Parts: sequence; structure tokens; C-alpha cells
Amino acid sequence: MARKNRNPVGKNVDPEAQKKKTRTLTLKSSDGQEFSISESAAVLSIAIENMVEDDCAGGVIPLPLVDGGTLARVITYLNKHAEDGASDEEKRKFDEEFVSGMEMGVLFDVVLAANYLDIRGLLREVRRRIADRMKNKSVEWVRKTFHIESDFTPEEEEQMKKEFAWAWEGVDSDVDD
Amino acid sequence: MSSASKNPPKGEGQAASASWPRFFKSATAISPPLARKHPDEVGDDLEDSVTGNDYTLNIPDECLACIFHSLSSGNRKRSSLVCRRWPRVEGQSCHRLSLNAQSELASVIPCLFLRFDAVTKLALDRRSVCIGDDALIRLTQVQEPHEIEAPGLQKFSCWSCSFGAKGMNSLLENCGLLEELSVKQLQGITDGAAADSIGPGKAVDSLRVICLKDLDNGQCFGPLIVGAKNLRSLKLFRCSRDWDKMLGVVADRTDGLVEIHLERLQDSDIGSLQSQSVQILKYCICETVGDAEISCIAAKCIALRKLCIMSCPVWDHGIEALAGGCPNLVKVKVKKCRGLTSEGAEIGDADTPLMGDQNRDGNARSASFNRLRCFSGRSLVACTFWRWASFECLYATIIGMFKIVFALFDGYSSPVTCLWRQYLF
Repeated sequence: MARKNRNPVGKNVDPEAQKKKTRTLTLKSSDGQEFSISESAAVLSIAIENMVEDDCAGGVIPLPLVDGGTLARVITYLNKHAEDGASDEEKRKFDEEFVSGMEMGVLFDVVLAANYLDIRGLLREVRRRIADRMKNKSVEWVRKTFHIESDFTPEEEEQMKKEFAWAWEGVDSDVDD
Repeated sequence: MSSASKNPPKGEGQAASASWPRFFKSATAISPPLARKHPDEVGDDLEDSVTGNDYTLNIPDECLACIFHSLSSGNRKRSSLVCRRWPRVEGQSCHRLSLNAQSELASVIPCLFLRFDAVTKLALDRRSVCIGDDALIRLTQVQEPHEIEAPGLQKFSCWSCSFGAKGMNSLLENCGLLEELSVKQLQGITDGAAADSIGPGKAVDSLRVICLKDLDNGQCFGPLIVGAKNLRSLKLFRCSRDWDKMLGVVADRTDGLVEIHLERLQDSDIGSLQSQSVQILKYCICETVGDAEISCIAAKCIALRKLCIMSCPVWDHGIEALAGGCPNLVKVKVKKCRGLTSEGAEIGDADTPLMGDQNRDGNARSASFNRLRCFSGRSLVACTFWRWASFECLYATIIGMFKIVFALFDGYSSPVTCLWRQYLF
């Protein structure tokens, strides 16, 4: 409550914030695509903020660990969250829709990017989405969906099924919903 | 207790975890990264469809661990069977364990810290037949055959377990990093208490918080309480028998003991407890804490910053004395002390910038309202500004004030509440 009252005061006086809004940065993905983004949106990523602060952001910021498709998604997220008029409720709704349509592979790409760029809100959202998808799913479903090949020997696998029989009971069907 | 735990591998999985080490710990040594299956051997259709790059391959461990944290314990346990990396990551990210200390647990004890090697907080509670001293000793001792380090436990709590002095001593002797010990209803301490003394062991330097609840023979913890060199907080709830002597020794300490909570210690003359270093004192339902004791505290506890008195026979006189003493007092909470009138509390406010929370049964609301008028008239906050330049005190006071306003207006119409919120910030 207290915080809300305090915010409007500082809103339109900070010239630095205004400058950040108009200044644009260029981010370059691993596959060479370039994206422009306002500085105020870009610095929601702690990693980029650090680069800007250390002044190593002259011209183009290369992001060798993020491919173009993923970067485009991340930028959509950042822009929404830097938007002036967006209420918390709006952002929350956006977050939900943002992750709900993603394939598992894309989710992991975004997790990796969000982790690398240190965007906490996005990271939290995507992690939660992945965990949601895993809920009550069988071991086999997880392996298939995450493209993980089991590194247990067949004997161990057999023994696990015997010993941890509970893990194979009461799970959802492996057919994707 | 279990609700506090983030990663409680409870229930059926518990017994199973005994065999975990076989599956993942040995794996790194025995098999090369992947014992690839021959195509003929793959019988399962699902496994057939595993193609392409592993999505999780590039995900850092800590990131994967965070995904596990978003899962319920059942799902997390199941996930641990996906591949060798997952139980390792999950185990390493698990810092808090809350277990039912039923007798079946004894069988997994040798492997518990192998599967969860990063646990710093362990809580045990009992449902039926409990593991005993032997199990606790095995749990806490260095396990030679598996070459496990002594557990790096920082917090240990147990509730209604049948441990005795032996087990407790083993815990303290082996866990040199233990900071917080919480014991409730210990069943295994025999009545012939003399032999069962519990000492600080290796935790002598590390122990910060001791909390004892519902103990009949709590006195055997005496050597521990007195011996723990860096004890900061001592909480004794509903422990019977005489604590005078021990509390006397504790009171004489001039070191860092800053917080004392006492509740329902009926047989002890705990009012005699005065310590110059204590900053937080809490008395709940203590028949022996009256005006004389509060006056004594006012005179001697010069470092006291917060005082809470609940359901004690304290009258106006005691609060007046408080107003004249304890120069560092920032917060006073007085609840359910029937002897106190609203005048008593107001005197306290007028003379010192302390925060009062006089909430009596019956006419609690009207009393609160009077006090608010008193606040607004005197501008208590401003008074505090004037008295203390220290930011920390100021902060504590404002927060205290804020809390009180919310507490008082609980039930009043919201416009008034808003008004006060605006006034404060």
C-alpha cells in the first residue's frame, strides 16, 4: 500500500528514465539477426543492464547464446513489461498467455535465454510452466517430451520399476493433451 | 512442521530412497556417460520416439533445480527416475528435509545424506513407532563405508520423537555447523535426569538458537544452554520444573544472548531474569511476572528494545516503571493483561516514545480508539524522530506503528484506515 502511494511522485520527474525510453539498443542473436529495443525494456535483463552500465554496449550487443527466434520472443516479453500503461493485472495475463502457447522445446530455449540474460520474471514464469506440464506425468512421458534418453541400463530400469512401483502408478496417460 | 519444508520426500518414496545410491551415485564411476541400447533391445514404443537433442542438456543445474522446486514432492520423486542427472541435481538442491521419524526410516538412514547431500535443515516428527537414539546416532555420525562427511546440518528440529540424551549428544557432537536446535516433546529422556546431561559438543561455537517445548526433563539441556558460547536466542515453552538456577546463570552472561521467550514456566521465578545484553524479551502466560518483575526489568535491562507481555499479572505500576527505564525500548506489546487500564498504557506513551499495544479482552476496541487519539494528539512519530536519530530505530518504530494501526482498525470502516495510511506515509 505504501509503495503505491510513493510511486506516482517519482514517475514523471526522472530525466534519466525518459532518456532510457528514447535511447535504443541493438541486440544481435547467435544467427546474426539484429533487433532494436528501447533501453528501458532491455535493462529489465540484469545481464544487459550490467553491460550498459559498464559501457560495453557501444553499438551492437552480441548475444551468442540466444538464437533469433528465441530472442524475438524474449524481446516481446521485455517490451510488454517496460510498457508504460500496462497494469500488473495486464502483465500477469500477458505472462500467462505468453508461455501457454509454447512448445516444450521453445520453453527450454526461453529458459536458457532468460537464465543467460538474467530476466527473473520470465525465468520464473517459464519454469512454472514447465513444471505444470510435468505434473502427474509418467517418467516415460517426461523422457519423450524432453527428448531425454535414459542412461540407466535395462537391468536397472527393470529393477527401478519393481522397487519404485509407486512412480508408475496413478499417472496421466502418456498421450499428449 | 512439514509445511515449512520445501522438499519433503515423505510417504512411500521414503523407504525406497535406500536404494538410490545404487542407481545414481555408483553410476558415474561404473558406466560411461551412456550405455547405449542396441536398437533390438528397445521394446518400448515411447523410448523409440526419443529423438533429437536433449532439451535439458544445456540447462544449468541450478536452473533445472528451480524447475524441480516448482513441482510437488510426489512429482519430484517421480522425476528423479528420468535419468541419472536428475536425482543428483534434485538432491543437491534440497536443503530442507522434513521426515516422519517412523521406525521404517531406520533402514534408509545410512543413505539419507548420500541421496540428499546438501541438507542443512532436518526436521523429524513422529507418527507411530519412532526411530530411537541408535538411529539418530547412526544418522549423525560419519558413515565410514560410504565415506560421507559428517552432515552439514545447520538446523535440526524434532517433534515427539523418542530420542534421549544419547542421541542428542551424538547430534551435537557430530554436527559442528548446527545453528538452530528445536526440540518438542522429547520422549526418551529418562526420569533419573542426573546422568542424562546434554552438552554442546562440537556445536559449542555454532549454536545460535535453542528452542525447547513441552519438555518434562528439559533441565538436562542446561549444560547445552549454558555452554553454547554464541547463543543469541533462547525459547522455553511449557517446560515444567524449576528453571531458576539455569536462568540465573543465563542472565549472568554478558555476551550475545539477545532474545529470550518464556511461556508458561509456572514453577520458576523467572521474573528474576535480568540481563544487560537482552534486547528482546517475551513473557507469555507467566504467573510469576508481575509489576515488581517488570520494574526490575525496567531498571536493569538497559539494552532492551522489544518487550512483549501476554497474560501476565501486570498492573499499571509496572508499565509506568517501564516508561521510566529501558532507554532503548522501541516496541512494547501488552496483551491480555487484565490488571492494566488504558491510563497505564497512555502514561507509557506520553513519557517515552514507545509503542504500546494495549489490547484487553472485553472493551479492546474502545481502549484502542482512545489510544489512537492520544497518538494523533501527541504526534508520536514526530516525537520518535526527535528522540532517535538512528535510522534503524526509526524504521522499527514506523513499522511497529504501522502494524498497530492495522491491528486497531481491524473491523473499522475502511476510509478511516486509508486516512491513517496516508498520514503515515
